This record gives sequence, structure tokens and C-alpha cells, in this order.
Amino acid sequence: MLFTLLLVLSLYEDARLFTRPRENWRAASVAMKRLAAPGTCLMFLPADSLNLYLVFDKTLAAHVCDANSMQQFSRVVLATSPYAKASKMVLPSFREERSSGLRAPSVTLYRRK
Amino acid sequence: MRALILTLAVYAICILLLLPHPSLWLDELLNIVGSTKPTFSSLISYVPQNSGAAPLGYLVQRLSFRLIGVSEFSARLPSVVSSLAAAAGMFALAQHLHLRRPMAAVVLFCLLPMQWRYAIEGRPYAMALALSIWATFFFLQQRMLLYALAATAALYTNPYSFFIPAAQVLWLACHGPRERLTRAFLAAGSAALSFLPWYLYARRAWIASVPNSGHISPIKAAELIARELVGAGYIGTGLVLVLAYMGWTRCRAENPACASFLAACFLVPFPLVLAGDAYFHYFLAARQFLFVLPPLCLLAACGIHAQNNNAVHPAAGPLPL
Repeated sequence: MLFTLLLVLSLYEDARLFTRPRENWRAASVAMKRLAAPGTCLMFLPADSLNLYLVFDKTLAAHVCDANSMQQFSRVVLATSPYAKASKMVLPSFREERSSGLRAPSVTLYRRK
Repeated sequence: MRALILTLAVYAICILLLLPHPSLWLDELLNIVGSTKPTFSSLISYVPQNSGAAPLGYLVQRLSFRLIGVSEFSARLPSVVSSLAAAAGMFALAQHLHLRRPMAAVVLFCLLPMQWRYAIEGRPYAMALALSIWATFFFLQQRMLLYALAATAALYTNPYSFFIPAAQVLWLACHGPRERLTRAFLAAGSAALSFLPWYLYARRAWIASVPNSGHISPIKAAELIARELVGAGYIGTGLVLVLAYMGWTRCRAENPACASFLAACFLVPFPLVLAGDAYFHYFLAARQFLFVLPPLCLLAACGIHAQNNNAVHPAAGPLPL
């Protein structure tokens, strides 16, 4: 009886591993790639999280900009890690246009004001 | 043996079908970043940046990437293979210890959420667990060279796995003949010594990479262990502990050496994990207790038998010493 209960509880928890919300770095990489049109650059919060997205798509590295070089672009896509200390980044002279709807990491498109 | 093959086949099919479905999370990606480093030396210098990490799991994952390309599937495949090897090892252990229901131990081990989680995760915990189980098997079989090799490989996969050989040597010190203790001590000691170069190389980077976690109170530590030991919450931990206790009392009546051996392998790692965390100022995590799952499952399997049959039988055979 106890053993059966334990197995049932274990099976329930095993199944929950597949149903509970998880981080989806691949989806974030795909969303960034889709938004990386000419005139758009990619930024990452924190900056060193870029390596994690490169696991899925190495070409993302070609579109990366930083706080200085972003002024040359009309649009910026910001990917924010769920582990970032700050959840928002101030991009002067840019306004938030839309979010990809992804939870973790989040991907937000900014357009020049 | 037929039941084992059938169980492992079903388990392998389920796990392989489900393998690509959970999306990769941060720690798996950090592992993959290391395993896909362009050169061996860059991999070796990357590994210690993850606190407590050792290189063998990264190297095996790298091999998997070389063989079938970089993907969620290939990142997690070494863990699946390890989990299957661990389940087979559980059967071998249960048979060696003359448990009456070896398959119960195997099924419980496969389904325990804590084991299941690491069986489909692209990190080396399942591999370290499998090596730890086979090291225990070689220890019981008194094949000390294989014991030393398996313990060394486990150490180079996850250093906390060494708390199981430490428990086994301690158990022999209390219960075993001196000659066997000397041999086991030499085998476990040589494993520890062989890990020393990596420890000296990685120690500084480990300490630098430890997240600032602060001190955890004994009550919080006990609460975390009670909630997460087997990955099934307080109820799951409670159920498995009750079964294990019943198994231990039953086992003690039938085969005291077996009972004390399993109890030592289950209990000794707890203070050692806490001491290790305190020394490195590392945060307490349930995965650090992963290596106590095999003795816990074996005791729980004895508990099923005790539950169903209260008569004490003479021991099916003493634990070979």
C-alpha cells in the first residue's frame, strides 16, 4: 500500500516535469533571429548571457550591439535572462514597441523615438 | 533477469521519447557551453568556473556532440545511458545483498522524481550516480581495483559522490575485518589522491564562482531535505523514509551486516554534504544528496517485503565480507 502510494506520487511528479512552465532559451533565440532585420541590433541582459543563445544560433553574434553602438540602429531587440539582477534596461531615445510574449527569457523590441 | 530487461526496455523507450521535450534551462546550457568549447584546454579552463564542477561529465557530453551533433537530445543522451546503467546497477546491488524484491528497488529508483529529473537533464549528475552505484557493487564484490577506478571516475564527475566511499570505509572500520578495511581504505584513498590535482587546479576558481548564498540554518536545511530529498515533496520523503525504516528493521533481523551497510551509505553522506557546503560557503541543494538514493531505495524495497510478510525468515545469505 505504502509502496503503491509512493509510486503513484512519483509518477505524478515525474509527469509534472513536462507540464510546468520552464525557461525556453531556444524560443528566445528564434524570436531574436526573426526580429534581427537590417537596421536592428541585439542586446543581452546580462551581456555575458549571449553565449547561452549562441548554443542555438551562432549567427546571432553578428547582430550584437552595446550601449554605444546601438545609436546607429533604428531598432533594438533586448533579451533579458530570468536570472538578470535587473529585469529592465533603460535604452535612452528608444521606446518599447512590443514584447515577444516569452516569459523566460523575455524578448522585447525597442524602436527609436 | 527477464523482468529487469523488460523494465529497462520500457524505461528506456519512455525516457528516450520524452528526452527532447523539456526545454533546456540555464544550468544545462552552461554545461553545453563548456562541452562545445573549441579546444580541450579551453574546456578544462572553463569547467572550474562552475563551482564544484569536475571535467568527466563535460568530456562525455562533448563525445556525444561529436558523435551525433549538438542538440537537446545529444546533450541529454549521456544522462539517459547513465540512468539505465544505474538501474542495472541497482538490480546487481539488490541481488548481491540478497534482497527478496530486487525489482521493487529498481522500479522505485527509476521512478523517483529526483532520479528521473537528472536522467533527462544535460548535466552529469546521472553519470556520477551510476558510477557511485557501480563503485558500491565493486566494493561489495571486493574488486578493489574496479572500486578505485569507479570511485575516481565518480569523483571526476561530481566530487560529492565521494561521500559514499567515505561511508563504506567508515562502515568497514566499524564492522569489517582489518584486512578488508585496509584494502578498501587504500582503494578509496587512491581515488581521493587521484582527484587531488584537479582539486588543487580548480579550488580557487570554485571558490570565486560560489554564489553568495549566506548561511542556512539547521531548521531550514532540515526543511529543504524533508521537502526535496526524493523530489516528491514532504509526503514522498515521508513515505520513502517510513518504508526504508521498515526495511531496515526487517533487514536488521535477517542480515544485520546488510542493514548497517545500507544505513551507513544512507546516513553518513548527510553530515559530510553539510560540512562540504559550509567549507566552500556553497548553498545547500537537494541534488547534493542524490547519492543516498540507492541505499534508500534498497532499504525501501526491503520495507515492502516487511509490509507484506511479517514473519522473519532466516537470512537468505549473509553480506559477503
